[in-house]
Amino acid sequence: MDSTQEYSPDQEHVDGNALAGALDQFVADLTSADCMCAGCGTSGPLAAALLYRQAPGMVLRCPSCTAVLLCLTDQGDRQILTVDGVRRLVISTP
Amino acid sequence: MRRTWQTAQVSAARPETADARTIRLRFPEPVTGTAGQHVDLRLTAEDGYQAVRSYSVAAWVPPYELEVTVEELDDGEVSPFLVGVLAVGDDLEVRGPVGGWFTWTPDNGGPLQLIAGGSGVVPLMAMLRSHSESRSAVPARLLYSVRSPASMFYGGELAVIGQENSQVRLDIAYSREAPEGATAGRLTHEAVTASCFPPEDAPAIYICGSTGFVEAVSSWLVEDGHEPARIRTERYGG
Repeated sequence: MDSTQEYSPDQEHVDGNALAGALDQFVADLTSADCMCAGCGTSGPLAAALLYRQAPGMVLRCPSCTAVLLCLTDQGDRQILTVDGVRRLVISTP
Repeated sequence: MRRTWQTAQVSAARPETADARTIRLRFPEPVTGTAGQHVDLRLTAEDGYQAVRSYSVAAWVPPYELEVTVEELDDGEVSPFLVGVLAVGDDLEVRGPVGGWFTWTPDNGGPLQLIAGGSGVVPLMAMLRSHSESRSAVPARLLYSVRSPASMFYGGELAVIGQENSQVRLDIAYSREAPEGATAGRLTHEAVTASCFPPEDAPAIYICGSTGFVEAVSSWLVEDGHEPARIRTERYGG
C-alpha cells in the first residue's frame, strides 16, 4: 500500500476510542507479561529481564541478548514509554 | 492495588539485626496483596531530589498495615534513613503493593522450595508466613544462607515455625560464623542439592538474594535437572 495514500471514508473501521475497554485490561500487573525480544526473538516474563535504574530513565534489557526492550522515563507530569525492542507482549487474562 | 503514590504512616518499628529494621506501615485505606510482592518507597529531599527504592513486603497485617524489613547499605541513599532516622509517626510516600511474578499463594500448590541469601529472605518469609497462616498441607522448605547467627532475620519466629509445622523444613547455612555444632563456609552446590526437593518432585522454586547468589544457585539447580520455568528469581542488586 502506498503510505502517502489519503484516507477515504469506509465502513470497516470505528474510532480508536472503542479500544478503551480492551486496553483497560493492560492495567493488570504487566511484569508477568511474556515479552518477545525484537532483537533475538527470545521470550520470557518482563519480571525476569534485566532492569537498569542508573540511567536517567529505567532501561529494561533482554536477558538473552541484552538488547534494550523498553525505556521508561518519569518526567513528573508525564511518563514516556518507548518499546522499540519489544516484538510482542502476551498478557494472561484469567 | 493503588497505582498512584499515597501516604502511609510508620505505626511501629523494631530492630531485626544490628543493621536491619522492620518497619510497619499504616495505609489510609485497606491494603491487600500476595506474598512476594513489594512496595516502592519514595523519599524527597528539601531541594526536591527524589529517590525511589523497592522493598519486599515481609508481613501482611490486615486490614490497613504491612511490614517491610530494610537492611542498611553502606553506600545507600535511602536505607540509612529508613533504618536509622525514620521514626514512628512519620509519613512515607508509598506505591503498591506491586508485582505479580515473584509471588506465591497457598493455591499455587507445591512443593514449595525457598532459597534465601541474606536479606533476600524477606519476600520468602512472607511466603512462609502465608503458608503457615493458611495451614497449607503443601510441603515447604527454606534454605537460608546467612553470614552469622547475629545477621539472621526473624530467627525466633523461624524456629517456632520449624518446630511446630511438620510441613516445613528449615536449613540454615552459615557463611562466616556458625553457632556451636554447625560449621561455617561458602554455600556449595552439594549443600543446595541436599536441601532442595529433588527435580522429580517438581517443586516451585523461589530464590532471592544478591545477583551473585541468585546466579550461582539457579545455575546449580538447572544443572541438577530442575525445569528453568519452575525457578523464579529476584535479585535485590548489589
